[in-house]
Amino acid sequence: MKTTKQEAVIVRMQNIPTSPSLKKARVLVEESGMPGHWFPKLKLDLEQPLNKSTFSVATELIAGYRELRASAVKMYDEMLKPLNEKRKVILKWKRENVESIDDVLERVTFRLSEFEKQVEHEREEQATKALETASEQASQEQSEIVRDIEDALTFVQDDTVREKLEADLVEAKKSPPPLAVVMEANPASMNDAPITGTDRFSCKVMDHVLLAEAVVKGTVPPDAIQANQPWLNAQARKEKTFFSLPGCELTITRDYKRKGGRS
Amino acid sequence: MSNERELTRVTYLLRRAGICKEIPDTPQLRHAATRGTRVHSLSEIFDRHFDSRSLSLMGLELRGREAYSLTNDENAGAINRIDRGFDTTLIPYLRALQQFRVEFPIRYTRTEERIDDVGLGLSGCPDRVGVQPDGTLTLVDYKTGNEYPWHKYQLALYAVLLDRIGIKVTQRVDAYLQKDGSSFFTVHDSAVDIAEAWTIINEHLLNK
Repeated sequence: MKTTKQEAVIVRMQNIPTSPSLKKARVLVEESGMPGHWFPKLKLDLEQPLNKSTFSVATELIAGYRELRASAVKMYDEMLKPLNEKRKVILKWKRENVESIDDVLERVTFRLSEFEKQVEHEREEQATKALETASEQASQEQSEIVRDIEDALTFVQDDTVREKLEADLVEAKKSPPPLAVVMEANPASMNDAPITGTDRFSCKVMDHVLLAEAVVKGTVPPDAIQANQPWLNAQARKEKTFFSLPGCELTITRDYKRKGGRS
Repeated sequence: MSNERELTRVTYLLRRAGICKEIPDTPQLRHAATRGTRVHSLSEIFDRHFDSRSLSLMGLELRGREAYSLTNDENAGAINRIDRGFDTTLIPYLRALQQFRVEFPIRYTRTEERIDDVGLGLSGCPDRVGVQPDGTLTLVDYKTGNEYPWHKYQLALYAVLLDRIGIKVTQRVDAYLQKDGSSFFTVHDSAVDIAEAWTIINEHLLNK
């Protein structure tokens, strides 16, 4: 008969050595009836508040289950130990290989981005100059066209032709010729490249206080700052019931452990 | 006199130049285009009425089917006009617009004014031109979809058209109004975009 995963786990759980305390805990529960099913059905109704008689059941149950938990963790840890050791070795190989690849990627990315930035800067300067030159040329061309039309107007007698020339003159004065902007091809063009560049934007907080002040003023939304929960928890642990910080509320949760030396 | 039929629209020019992809005619994209047009109309009303005191947008409350101002009674007329037949799916875009106007203070001087350039055979209708508090003359174009690389060329072409009528903008801004009510904007000020816009125009003139 094929054993299911759940059954296999149950069989292993049955092999866990039981201490007197654990035995007590097992006594306090009844078997669910499923063959080989280790997990017991609780005799304690957790939906109901405790009373005098169920109080001791609960304390014994916690003590027993604490031990059961420790045994289960130990058993699985032992099963995992050789796997973890192998995993550790494989992870080391992976880390070493990936790190060397990442190193190359990082260095080439830096160089590529550096080159692109330099090209962008140069092209910006080139474009500014090209636009200036083209603008001067267009302006010159416009003046020449205007002058030519004005010259023609001085000797043209025919009214129809004059009207046409005058209309052309208005148009020539109003509308400068298009700019003939000459730009070199972009040496860092990604058009034919097998990769594409994407800018990722992020931020580094340089002055926490300044940022917090801006949040207080309301110019920056509160989402911009996050409370330092580990520090706040440490303060609460240190100051206990005397803990008092603006905007914070002390939370107390009680946990139960088995008493030392009791088995 | 200009002959409008001979003028090519900036967006059509970008499509013809292969910079902007031809939009396939699907019901979904038609709906998106209609929504974009409606958001543009609505933003025009808002920008016209909230222009002189952009901070009054802070008092604008959008609730369900209603859109009205809490602080400026004189603006109620414009808002009431919006109320009639108001499409509630547009409310997030108005929130996004509100956010943009607060984050990017600007006094608009020119709204949806078409430019016909006979010399270049081009026509375009930049959404807004305005002045930032530091005096920077800025072109703003509202978008309701995603950010695409061709948007910067569209703005550069508009800047060229504006330049030729004597309006020299130094910054070009794409304001993206999102359907979740958020907004973001991209500022373009590269001379390369303008130079490339001229290359596109010259190719267009050669092919005419």
